[in-house]
Amino acid sequence: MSVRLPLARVAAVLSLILTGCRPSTELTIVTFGGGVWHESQKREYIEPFSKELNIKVNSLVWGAEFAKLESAIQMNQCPWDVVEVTDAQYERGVKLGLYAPLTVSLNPADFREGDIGKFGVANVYWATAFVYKKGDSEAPASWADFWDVEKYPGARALNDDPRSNLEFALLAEGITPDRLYPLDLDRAFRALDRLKPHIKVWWSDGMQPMQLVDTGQVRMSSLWTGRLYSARRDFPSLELCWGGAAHVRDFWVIPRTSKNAQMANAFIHYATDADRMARQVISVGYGPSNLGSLQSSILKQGESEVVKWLPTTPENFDRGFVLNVGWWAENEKVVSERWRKWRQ
Amino acid sequence: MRTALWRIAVLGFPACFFVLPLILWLIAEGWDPTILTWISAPSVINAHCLGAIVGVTSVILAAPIALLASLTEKSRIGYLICFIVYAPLTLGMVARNYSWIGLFSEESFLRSVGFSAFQLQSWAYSINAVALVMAVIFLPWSFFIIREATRQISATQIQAAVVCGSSTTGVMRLLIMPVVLRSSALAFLLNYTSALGYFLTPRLVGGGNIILPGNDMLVLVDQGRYTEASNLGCAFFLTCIPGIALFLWLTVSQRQRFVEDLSGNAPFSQRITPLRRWIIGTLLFASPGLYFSILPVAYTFIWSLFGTEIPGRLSATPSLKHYADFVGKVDYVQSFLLTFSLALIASTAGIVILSIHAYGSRLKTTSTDFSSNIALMLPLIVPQVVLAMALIRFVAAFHLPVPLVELSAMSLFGLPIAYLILTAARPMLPQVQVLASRSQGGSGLFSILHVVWPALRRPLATAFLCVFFLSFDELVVASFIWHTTPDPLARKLFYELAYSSTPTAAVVSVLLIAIWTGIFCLVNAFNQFNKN
Repeated sequence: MSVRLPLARVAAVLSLILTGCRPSTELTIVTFGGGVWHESQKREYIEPFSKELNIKVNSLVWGAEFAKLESAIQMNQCPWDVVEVTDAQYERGVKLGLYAPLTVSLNPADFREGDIGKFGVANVYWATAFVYKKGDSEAPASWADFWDVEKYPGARALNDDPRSNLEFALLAEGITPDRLYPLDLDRAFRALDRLKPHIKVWWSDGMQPMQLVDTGQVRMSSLWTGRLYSARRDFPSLELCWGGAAHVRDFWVIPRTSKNAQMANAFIHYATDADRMARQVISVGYGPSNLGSLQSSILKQGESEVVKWLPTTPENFDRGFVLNVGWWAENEKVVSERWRKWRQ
Repeated sequence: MRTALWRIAVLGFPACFFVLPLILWLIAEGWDPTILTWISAPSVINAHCLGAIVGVTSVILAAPIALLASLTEKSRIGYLICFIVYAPLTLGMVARNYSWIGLFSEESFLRSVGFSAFQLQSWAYSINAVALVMAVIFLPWSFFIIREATRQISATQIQAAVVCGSSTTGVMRLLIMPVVLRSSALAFLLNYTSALGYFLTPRLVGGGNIILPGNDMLVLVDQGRYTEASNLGCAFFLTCIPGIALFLWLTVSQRQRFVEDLSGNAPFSQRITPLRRWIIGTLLFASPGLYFSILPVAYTFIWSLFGTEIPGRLSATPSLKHYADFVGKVDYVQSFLLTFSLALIASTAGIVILSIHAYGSRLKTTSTDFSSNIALMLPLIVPQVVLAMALIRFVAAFHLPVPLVELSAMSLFGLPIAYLILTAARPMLPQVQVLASRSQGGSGLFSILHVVWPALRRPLATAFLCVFFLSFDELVVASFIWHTTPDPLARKLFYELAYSSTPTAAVVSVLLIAIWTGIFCLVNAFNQFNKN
């Protein structure tokens, strides 16, 4: 992968010269949130890229408020060049024609199916699994155990979102991951009906699940796995169950209004390099989309502790399923209304 | 003509940055009748009931403290009370919510501070918890409004009543309570309307168990269904109009009586010595609001500086190294300075608008007063998500600088609170002096500078501080519209918590408390020095 970077750089500079444009000296890259995630992106991708190409790169964060991105692009006011979006936002943006087609050349063999799209490249996989407190003589191993309130009595907590929860309900019903889609909504809601009286909290913030389980307010809770990795030293008594984990990916995209599309493509190429991704995930515990990262000497020799936390290792990935964004894009409206009524 | 000018001066700002964006957005998005299926009775009833409960609870918690503050004004106890009420505001909205989650989760902490009797642990993630936390969050606003009103109670009248043999109960019932009741009604109105569109506390502290229209709107916006979100906001708004209009009319029509009744201007705290000790003692015991106010601040402070075992925390526990590292974080300093500057401008603009409003109120008729009430209160009633969506389009369509929109959002949400504080204090404005100044050839500006401001110095200062601190909490609009650097502080903190568990947010909260406490002490020391 690394041999391609100079080519991308040369192509970017050449195209700018040939088109007679003055190369823009600023690139604006927008990633999710603040904290460790943003810091790691800055440290491993943004700052080195800025130094190597000797251009100014603005590093901003956003909270995935799609309305803001859509509105700014539609009004031709978006000053961003590369944006990190969720998988659902990727699908929605493609339908609305918000993104510029990528010109970057990546090796499909390095990525999973669907990771490289016409308008974006997956940059990370994150997972929703469930967490419990160590100490049970027989540790829960699947969503069927999560649903089994007789064997594992106590309150539960789930994320306040139908996405993933319906899949978890069907997995608890014994459906295998490869036969999840299209989702059997009636069956999923019936399964959720059974668990509903035991759900004490519908969490919406990533820190809540760990606090809830750690303080004993609930016995098990779904959670975003990277959060526990970041706080693993504060919550040593918590254990993660990867059985039936939902894998979701985020994407790098280029807004169609970007005036630095070539440079933005070069950045995406730079940020999907296997070694760089390997270095980045050490501090965040999310799964690199480039499969080469897992073979990287950085992960093998360095802080190998992180490997067991990564959603994309074969051991963790094969025990779960990838959320079908296409199905959700088509059915989200109907499902969310039904979910809302069910929740009341 | 003059009435029209006054109206433009007062209503121009909300009209430009609130009514216009909203109308434009509604026209652009159109109407989708299917949204009526989203207006469900349970969520509407939930919102109105919660709003009413929060409104009443907040007033009940705030009224004794406000009276206490008036009675102990300019004493050490008075300063301490003010500090306790201001302190939670400095913590930041997100940190306040997290502190409460921690308090509900942690039995031993509550027991150690004598709160085991309240059995708060059993309230965790329930509607009781949401109502209590929201009431405590709104408590400062109720406090400021009621306190401004109690400042006008005539010492002469109280003295006369005591001399004539009136008992303490009689003084309370006939002189103090009417003023407290009217300002309490205003405070209730503010709390009730603010609670209707609220979503952060129900979502975090309620554990997702209380669904309000504000949450539904966020879901719709998140899915890119803007038309439905706007329609839902409008439909919900319509359910609020009759009650709020009736309430506004009642509060406006009741005003004149108090203007005539209460004409004294000596602070009653200085003149009611025989009653003071008894009343202060009683109020101190009857002020659970004081303890509820200080709890989350104490909790955050203790956990951040000393504790590692308190659950429900903001993030991983900060160490001294985190504090040291934070010093070099230029982006946070920039965010703070930006928010500080915008807050300063918003609060200054707020008191200028309100000064003009107070100055021009001599021209008012009931109808103009009513329309200004409605215009200034509207931003509170319309859910913030709807306003944020409208502002996004507005900014993009007119190529407005983003900081200006953030500034307008801060002002729009702060203005109603400041307005109610001033409304509660309105009898303090000597209209005769304004008229005298004008008839002697003084210009409007002269009258504002030399009559209105000196007369309303205290309530304007309180209003200024309210808008200033509230600006630090503005999160919704900032999240939707902002795409420049640096970020406003509230948004930066929210992202810090939403995407990672670093202790930075906790460090910032503690530093903010320390900064504001320092400023508070300095101001008090300066006041003391001046007095000496």
